[in-house]
Amino acid sequence: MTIQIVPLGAGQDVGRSCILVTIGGKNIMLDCGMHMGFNDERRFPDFSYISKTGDFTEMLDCVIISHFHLDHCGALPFFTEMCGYDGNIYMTHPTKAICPILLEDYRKISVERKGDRNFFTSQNIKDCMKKVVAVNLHQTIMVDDDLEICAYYAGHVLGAAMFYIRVGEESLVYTGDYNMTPDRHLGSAWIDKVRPDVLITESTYATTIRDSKRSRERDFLKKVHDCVTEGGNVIIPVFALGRAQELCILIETYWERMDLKVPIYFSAGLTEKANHFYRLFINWTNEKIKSTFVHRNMFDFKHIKAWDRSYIDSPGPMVVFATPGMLHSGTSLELFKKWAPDSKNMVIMPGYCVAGTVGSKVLAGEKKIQIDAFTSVEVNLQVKNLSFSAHADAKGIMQLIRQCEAKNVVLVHGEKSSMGFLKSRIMSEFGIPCFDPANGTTISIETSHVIPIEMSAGLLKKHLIRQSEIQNGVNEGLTSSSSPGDSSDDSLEHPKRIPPSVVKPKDRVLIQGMLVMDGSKTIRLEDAEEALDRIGMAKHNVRFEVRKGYNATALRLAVEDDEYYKNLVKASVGEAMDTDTGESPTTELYQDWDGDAFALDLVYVALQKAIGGHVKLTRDNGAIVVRTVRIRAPTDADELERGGLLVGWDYQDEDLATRILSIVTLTLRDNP
Amino acid sequence: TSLLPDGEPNCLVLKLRQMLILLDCGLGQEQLYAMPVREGAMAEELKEGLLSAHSPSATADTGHKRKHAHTETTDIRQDWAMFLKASTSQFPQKKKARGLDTNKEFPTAVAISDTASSQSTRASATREYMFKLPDFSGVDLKSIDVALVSNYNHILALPYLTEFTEFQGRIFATEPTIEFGRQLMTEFATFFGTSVSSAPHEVIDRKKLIAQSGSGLYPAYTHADIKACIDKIQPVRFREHIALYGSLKLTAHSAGYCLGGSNWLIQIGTESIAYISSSSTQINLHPDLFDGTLLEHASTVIAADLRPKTSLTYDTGVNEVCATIARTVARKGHVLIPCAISGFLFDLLEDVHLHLSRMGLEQQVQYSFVSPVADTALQYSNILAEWMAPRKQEMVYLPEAPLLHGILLEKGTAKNYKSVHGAFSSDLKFPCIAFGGHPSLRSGPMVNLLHMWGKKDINSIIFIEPRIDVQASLEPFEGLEISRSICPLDIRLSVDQLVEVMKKHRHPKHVLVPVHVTASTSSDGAAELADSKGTTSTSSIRWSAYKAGVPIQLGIGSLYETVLLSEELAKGIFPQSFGSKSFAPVAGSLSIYNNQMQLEPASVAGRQILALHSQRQLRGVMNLQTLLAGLAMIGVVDPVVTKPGIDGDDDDDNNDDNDNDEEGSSLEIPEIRVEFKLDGLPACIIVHEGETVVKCDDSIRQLLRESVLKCLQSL
Repeated sequence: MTIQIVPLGAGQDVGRSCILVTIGGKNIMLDCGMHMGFNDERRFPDFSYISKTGDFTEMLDCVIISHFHLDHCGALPFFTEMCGYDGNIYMTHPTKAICPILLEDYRKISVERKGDRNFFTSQNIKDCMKKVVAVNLHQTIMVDDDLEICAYYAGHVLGAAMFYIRVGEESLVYTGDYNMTPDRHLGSAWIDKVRPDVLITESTYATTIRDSKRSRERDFLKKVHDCVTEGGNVIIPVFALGRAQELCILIETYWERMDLKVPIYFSAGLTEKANHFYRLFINWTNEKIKSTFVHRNMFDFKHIKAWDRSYIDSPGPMVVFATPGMLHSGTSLELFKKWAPDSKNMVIMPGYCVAGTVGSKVLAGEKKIQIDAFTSVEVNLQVKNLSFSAHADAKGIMQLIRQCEAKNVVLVHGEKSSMGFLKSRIMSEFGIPCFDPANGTTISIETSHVIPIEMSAGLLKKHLIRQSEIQNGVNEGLTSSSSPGDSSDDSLEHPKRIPPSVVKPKDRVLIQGMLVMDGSKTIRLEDAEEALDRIGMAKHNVRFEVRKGYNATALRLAVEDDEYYKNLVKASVGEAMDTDTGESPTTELYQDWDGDAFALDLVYVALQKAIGGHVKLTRDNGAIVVRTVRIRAPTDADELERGGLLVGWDYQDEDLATRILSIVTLTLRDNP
Repeated sequence: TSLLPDGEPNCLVLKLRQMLILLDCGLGQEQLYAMPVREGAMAEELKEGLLSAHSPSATADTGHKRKHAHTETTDIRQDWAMFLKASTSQFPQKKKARGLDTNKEFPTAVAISDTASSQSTRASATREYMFKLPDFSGVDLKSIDVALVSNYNHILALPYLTEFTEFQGRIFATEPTIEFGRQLMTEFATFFGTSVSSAPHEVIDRKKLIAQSGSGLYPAYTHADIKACIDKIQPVRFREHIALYGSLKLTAHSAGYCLGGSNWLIQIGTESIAYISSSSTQINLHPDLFDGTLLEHASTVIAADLRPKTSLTYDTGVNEVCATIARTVARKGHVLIPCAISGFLFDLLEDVHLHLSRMGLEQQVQYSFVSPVADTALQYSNILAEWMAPRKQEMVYLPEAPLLHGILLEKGTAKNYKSVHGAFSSDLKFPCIAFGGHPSLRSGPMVNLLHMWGKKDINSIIFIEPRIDVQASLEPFEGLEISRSICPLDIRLSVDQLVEVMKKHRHPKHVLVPVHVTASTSSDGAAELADSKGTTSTSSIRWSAYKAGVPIQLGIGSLYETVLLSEELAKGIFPQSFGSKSFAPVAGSLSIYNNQMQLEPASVAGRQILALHSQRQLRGVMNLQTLLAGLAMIGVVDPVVTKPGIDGDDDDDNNDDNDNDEEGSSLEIPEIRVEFKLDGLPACIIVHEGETVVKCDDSIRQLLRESVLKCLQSL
C-alpha cells in the first residue's frame, strides 16, 4: 500500500499551506491557506491540480484545517464557495470561532483597501463556516466507515491542532504549526505514541535552536521599557489573535509590577472580541490560566486600551499593538509609515514575515522601503526581531518525531535551505526516510500492509498449550538425551537450557490454522479441522504403509566398529551377530541378533535428537510412535520375507512423516 | 415501610475476561450519596443552632421510628453493587453479573433525617456525619483495573475508594465530570465534613478509624482527600479511544444528561458492552445530544439510572416550577430551590427567566446561587461550549456566553455566594430565588434560609431533584409555614425511551435493566419486560433485570481475537473455494506485543517446527475409477481389483491391515483392494468408506501419493 503526498502550497515554502494526501484510497486536503506575499492568483493554492473539471466534492473525502492563521485557512471560502467544494470540513471549536473573523478582516483589506474584485464575500465566509464540523481534542471522528481523524493539542495558537488520520492500518499525522514549549497562555504540543506511517511536520524553524523563552521575554520587556523611557513610541505588529494575547499578558503583568503609566493600545476592534473568545475557550489555554480563571481572568486587561486613530498624533510615548503582523497593510503599516523616520521609535517584530511583505524588508534591514508604487519610507527607527512565534524549533521537531514514533517524515512549511539540514539530521538520527517535496511534486511512501483478521480464541489457546508443553518437553528431552555433543538446530525458537529465573512470558507462538473468508468483511482464522467440518464435506483419511528397506549388513558392520554404541548396547552385543534382514537370515551364529530392533533403537535415538524436542516420541512394543506415525519391525511372514522397517502414517501427518522418513534414511544408511 | 421505590444501582462491577471494571465510578457517588447515614449529633457549628428551632420532642418521637427505618435500609444496603463477572478460567467466556441495588439518595435522605432527629437522644455520640459505603466485601478492590465514571452524580464515593482502600486501578471520566465532581465533593465535604480543618494527625486517626470500622460507617472525607482523588482521574473527551493493556478499548459517548455526562462503550477483543448510565433524549437542553452510536457496536447493553415510570414529564414539571416561582415572586415572596448547581438547573434557569420576563417580573427578582462552589460552577459551566448542544455551541462563535447565567451574572441580576453569611442579606433587595444547598436539607445554606424565610407562607420551597424523598427531607421542618411544591424534574431515560433509542440502532442481543424499573410495573419484571418490548422491537433481544447483589452471567457469543496478518505472510496465501467460502491454510509465528497480536512468517527454525506439527486435511470421497485412471497415468498396468462380494478368494496372507480385522473387512465393511506392481515393486491400495490405505515401498510412494490425492480435496 502507498501513501501519496502532494503539497499544493507550503512545499519548501511558508505560506498557503495546502497538502493533498491519498491514504488507503481516501483523498484528504490538509489546510487550505493563502499566501501573504502575493496579491494575484498565486496567493491561493492551485486547486485545478485536484480536479480539472472542478468536481472537488467527488474527489476529496474531507478537508482538515489545523488552525486559524490565514496561511492555513485563508483560501477556504474561495475553495468552498467559489470552487464549489461541498464536502466535510473539520477544525477545532476555537478555530471555527476565530477563523471567520480573520477571514473577514482579510477580505476587508483585500477588497476595500486594495480594490480586489472577484473576491469572496462576507456571505461566502458565513456559508463556508456552516459547512464546518467542529471537533474536540482527542475525539475520534469517523468521516466514513474507514477514515478516522483525531485532533491533538498543538499549542501554536488558540485551538491549533495536529491531526492523526487513519485508514485501515495506515496512518498519518499532520502537525499544522505547533510548539513544543509552553508559553504564557498555551500549553505545549502533545501527541500519543500513534506510530504513524508518515509524519508531515512544519519546519519553520528547522535550523534554529532557540534560547530560553524567559530570557527572550526579559529582553523584549527591557527593550520596550527602554524605548518608552526615552520617549519613543513602540509599535508591535501582531495578528489580532494568538501571539498578541501572549504579549499582552506579558506586558500587562510587567506594567503592573513596574507600576508604569505609559499607555498601551491594541489596534483593531478585534481586541475586545478576541479577548472574549479567549475567555470562552479557556479550556484550550494552559493549565495555569485554567486553574485561576475563576478568580482572575488573564484576558481581562487593565492597562491595555483600544486604539483609536486619533491617538496617532498624540505625543508619545506609547506602546501600540497593531495589526496585521507583517506590516503589509492596515493600522500597523500606517503607524509604521508615520513613525519609521524617527530613530527614537522602535518596531518590534515578534513573528515571522513572509518574503515580499514590508515586514520582511524591515527585518532585512533595508533603509528605504518601497511600500507601493507611489510611497517609499525612510527607515530610521530601531528594528528588533524577537522570535515569539510559537513554532517548534529543530529540537522540538525531533522531539515530536520521537514522541509519535513516525516511520517516515515529510517536511513542509519551511524554507528549502534549512529543510535540507533538518532532513539529514532526521535521517541520521532516527534512520528513517525524510522528504521535502516542492509544491506540485508527488511523493509516494510505501507502507507495510497488515490485514486485520479475527482469530478463534480456542485455536490460540490450543497453540499456547502446545507451545508450553513442548517447552517443558524440550527440557526433559535434553536431560534425558545422553549424547553430550547434542545440539539442537532449533535453538533459535527454543533456547536449550532455561534457568527458571529467565523464563519469560511467551511473546511468540507458532500458529497453524485455516483462514476462512465467506464474503463478509471479516476474515477469520480457525482450527482447520473445525472450519472444514463446518462446511460439511466428508473427511477422508489416507493411510500410508511404507516399507523402508535398509542394508542390515552394513549397519551391523558399522556397529561393530563403534565403541560408543557398544557400551550402550553391551548386553546384546555380547552374543548376537548379524542378521541381514534384507536377505534371508543365513548365519546361524547371529541367529538371536535382532537387526530390526537394533535399527529401531538407532532410529529412535536419531529421532529423539532431531525432533524429540518438538514432538512426543513413545515406544510401544518396540515400535516407535509419533502421533499417527508408527515405525515398526515386520511381523508377519510376508513382511519378514521382504524385510526392512515398516512406517505407517495418516495423511494428516504427511509433513511429519516426510521428515521422519528422511531421518530414518539418513540414520540407517550413514550410521554412525 | 417500603424504602426502595427508587433504588438506583449505579455502582456496578463488570468482569470481562481478565479485566475487572468498575462502572460508574464504581463506587459511584450514589453509594456515597445514598449512604450518608449520620450517626451521632449533627455538627452544630455548621448549623448554628438553627435546627434547634424545631421542637426536640417532636423529633425525639420520630427518632425512634426513623431508627427502625434506618436498620432496614442498612440491611438492604449490605449489597450494593452489581457484579458482572466473567469467569475467565474457562475459555468459553462466561459472565456473571451481580447486581445489587444501591439505595440512592432516597435512603440517604432517610438516614440523614434519622440521625438528625435522633440527635437529641444521642447527644453523647460523636459529632460527625457518618456515611455508609457501598459494600465491597465481594470485590477485591486491589484487582480492579479500571473505574469509569459517567457523570458527577456518580462520583461521590470515589475518594473513599482511592484514598482509603487498596484500589490501584485507573480512573476515567470526562473533563466536566471531573470538575463538577470535584465541586460536588467539595460541597459535600463542606456540608458534612468534620468541622473546620483537619490537622494531619487527625487524618491519620480517621484512617485508623476507617480501618477499624469494617463494614461500618465512615465520616466524610476532607478537602485533601478530594484533591488527591481528583488528581488520580484521567480526563477524557467524548469519542476519545482509550486503549488499555492492548486489548481493552474504552470510549465515552455523550449521554445528553449533563455537561460531560457520558455512556461508556467497553470493547475487549470482538466483544462490546455498552453501559448506559444517566442519559437523556430530552430536547432543548444544554448538554451535547445523546449519542446513540455506541449502541451500534454493542452486543450487550447495561442500562442504569433509568427514570421510574411514574414521574412527570420534564416539560410539565418545568411549567409547574415556573408557575410556582412566578406566583411567589408576584406576591413578593422568596423561593428556595435546594439543588446542586449543575446539570439541568442551567436549563431551568433559562425557562424560569423567560417565564418571568413574559410576566414582566424579571426586573424584580434576584437569582442567588448559594454554595461554597457556586462561583466556580457557574463560571466553569460557561467555558464548556464543546460539551454543549449544537444550539449552544453556536453562541460562542458570536461570541457570547452559551449559558444564560453568564449574562445574568454580568448584569448583576444573578449573584453567587459562598454562604448566606456576609453579603447575601445586604444584597437582598428583591424577591430572591435561591438555588443551592443539599437537597436533603440536612446541612448547608438551605437550612439557614429555611429558618430565615420558612415561617412565612408567602415564601416557597420547590423540590426539583428527582432522587430525593421530600417527605423525609422536610420532616425536621414540619412546623414551618413555607409553601411547598414538589415537582421532581427528571430528564433521565425511561424504559420506553430506552427501547425507542435502541430501535434506531442495531439491536443488541442482551439488555440489562435494574430490577426496580420492572418491579414497579409487575412482580415478574424480566418476563414482563421481554413481553412488552418483544412486540415493539425485534424479539431477538433478551431482556433481563439485575438486582443488587445477584450476579448475572452474560453469555457472550463468538470468541475471536483480533490479529494482524502481515503483508509478507498474506502474499503467500492462495485461498481455495468451497462453495461460498474460501479457505487457505496458514502457518506462521504469532508475535504478541502489548497485547497486540501479529501473525508473521516464521523463522527458518520455526518453519521446521511448524512442519512437524502441520496437520493436513483431506476431504471428499474416494472414487475407484478416478483412482484407477490416476494409477494408469503413472504407469500401473493390470491392477488387480478385488471387490467384496465379487471375489471369492479372500487374501489371507497379504492382508496386514493394522486397523481392520480381516474377517470383518470382507464381510461387513465394503472394501476394495487394488493390487499391482510398479517399478517391479508390489503395492496395494485398500479403499474403505472413509479411509484409503496405501501399502508400498518407500521408493514408489511419492508417485502413488499424487494419484491418490488427486481423487480428493487436499488442504
